[in-house]
Amino acid sequence: MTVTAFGSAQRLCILLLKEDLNQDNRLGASLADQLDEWMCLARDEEDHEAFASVVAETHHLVRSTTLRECADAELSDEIAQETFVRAWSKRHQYRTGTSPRAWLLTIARSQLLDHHRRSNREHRHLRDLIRQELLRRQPPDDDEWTRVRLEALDVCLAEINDSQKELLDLVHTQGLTTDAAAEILDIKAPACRKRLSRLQQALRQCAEKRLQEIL
Amino acid sequence: MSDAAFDDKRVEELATGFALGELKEDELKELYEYLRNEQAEEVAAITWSALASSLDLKMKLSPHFADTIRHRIEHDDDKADDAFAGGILQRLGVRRKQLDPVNTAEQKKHPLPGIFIIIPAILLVVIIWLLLPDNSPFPVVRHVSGGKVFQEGDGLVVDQQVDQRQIAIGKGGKLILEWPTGDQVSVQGPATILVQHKGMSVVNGIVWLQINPDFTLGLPDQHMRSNEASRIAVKVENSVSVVGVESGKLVYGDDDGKDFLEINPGQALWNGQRDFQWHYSDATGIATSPVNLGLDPIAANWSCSFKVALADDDSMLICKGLDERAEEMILNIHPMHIEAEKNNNELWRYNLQGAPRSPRRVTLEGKQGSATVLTITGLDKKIQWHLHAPLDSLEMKGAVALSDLRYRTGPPPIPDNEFVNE
Repeated sequence: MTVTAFGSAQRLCILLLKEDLNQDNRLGASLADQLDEWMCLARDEEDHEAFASVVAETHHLVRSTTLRECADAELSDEIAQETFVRAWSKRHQYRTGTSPRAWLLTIARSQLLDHHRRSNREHRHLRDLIRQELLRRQPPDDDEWTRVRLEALDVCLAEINDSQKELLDLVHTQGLTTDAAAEILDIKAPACRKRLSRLQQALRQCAEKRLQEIL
Repeated sequence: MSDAAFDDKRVEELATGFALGELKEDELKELYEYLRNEQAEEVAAITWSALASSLDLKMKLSPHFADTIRHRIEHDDDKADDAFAGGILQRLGVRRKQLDPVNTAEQKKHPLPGIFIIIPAILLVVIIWLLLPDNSPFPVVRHVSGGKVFQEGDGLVVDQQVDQRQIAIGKGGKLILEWPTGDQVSVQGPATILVQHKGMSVVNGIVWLQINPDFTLGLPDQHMRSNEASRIAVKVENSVSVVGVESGKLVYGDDDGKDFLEINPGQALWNGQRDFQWHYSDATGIATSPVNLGLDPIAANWSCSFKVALADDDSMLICKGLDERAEEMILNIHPMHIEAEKNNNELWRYNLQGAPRSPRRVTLEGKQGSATVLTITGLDKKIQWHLHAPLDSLEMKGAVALSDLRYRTGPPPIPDNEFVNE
């Protein structure tokens, strides 16, 4: 499905983990049934817990698909959020036995199309030009490894030091800008972004190494 | 095609900034140049990697995605509740801090030795003591109105004593409780609370407190205790608290009961981590130098109001803040007109009616996710001003009289006469 941070190792995985993939497919089938059941509960009984389960099991797919199709992290999450909100408000339109994942992706793509229609009428900005260049060079679609990648990332996150944890907490958990994080950490703003950039790169490399070790 | 040289570290930094949506115009240009030179493929791969990394880290660390869905669904559907967000967050693997039981001040001060031997005796004494009229350590309902107010499914009525079980106050509901020690709390629904002897826990909602020393306040992200008679406003949303001190003093301690932070009048504490100026008042009189407000941008909802009188045509009040790209936004208030500018370009301008020398009331209201709304005497409309963070400073040019400045954020202030027998 997604853009991956650890492309080469994952492509190796595709070749070498066929058995696991078969098993994953079997698990995938049961998950699809479970998603269908939860979505029906959400529709028929307005069951928030069931809908929360649908969100939890599909948000990776929806977020990474929208990121891949718009090359804008902020916009992709906005579209993904809008998708789940729409899915809840239109839950009565969900048909039993169809795939919630496909249904959600249809809603997400419709939201993206709406966004593109609106933005095409507006003045095009530099950021859009960058997105256009990126979309011309989309990475391969290998979303089926998201779960493995996130597990590898978990291990790597456990190994970083306290100051690195604080930086990630400020930017990714609390949602501060790197400028605001720099103030709290009492460092200069460019140094803060450099530090974050190096840390994220190190985490990517760590996770990629972990994946190779799994092989 | 550009001649921009390839510097992978620099590209990585730009890509990280792009993924976070933080690049300024010149940096966007730089990245665009890289994406159009001969290493464009490599630059694009690095940028896609940074985008994916940011998304992965957000998936692992940020509660914002699920919270936003919850907020938006709540907006359309009042049946959605905190359990919904909690359910999503738990499944997303984002850990939320849990509400810990409150250790009351008395428990901290008098740890009991040989506790296993004397527990039965203490229990017996406590049960007898509780059964005696007027001796319960728990509060009594002094006021209940509006929406549904329940303790474990039973509706609460005035003069009823509550206990340590969870109390839920529905949307529009209001509950005032009074402890035997005279401490009072007013809870605004929707809210969920628990009470203890000389203390309470707030799970979610807005609570105003008028408390004596040693009242303990348990919140999802911090435990606090009043150090003197205090009036406190608390707001807990999505397991994050903001506590503002109107009068008195709160102390914030670690698990050993050692105090390490005091919150004084006018101050607030966010998420148990950061204190900031909750509100200013009494900034009355003729200001001769800039007023640096410096409200913490962490406070998403805020309001600022003041009166300004400009004595001559050349006088001006300059209000400064930042937009979403951290670029300076300036609002100039002149005797006869008001204008907004950014990077020396005028964004808009309105003429003001009324006597130019008369004081004008200016109000700015900032809400998370919305433009700041400006109102001013002499203009019959509300104006949107796109500030990202609260106002940073007010600067006076010429003969400017600034008065009745009120700057407030965090929990709403305690209304006058809110408590019983006030």
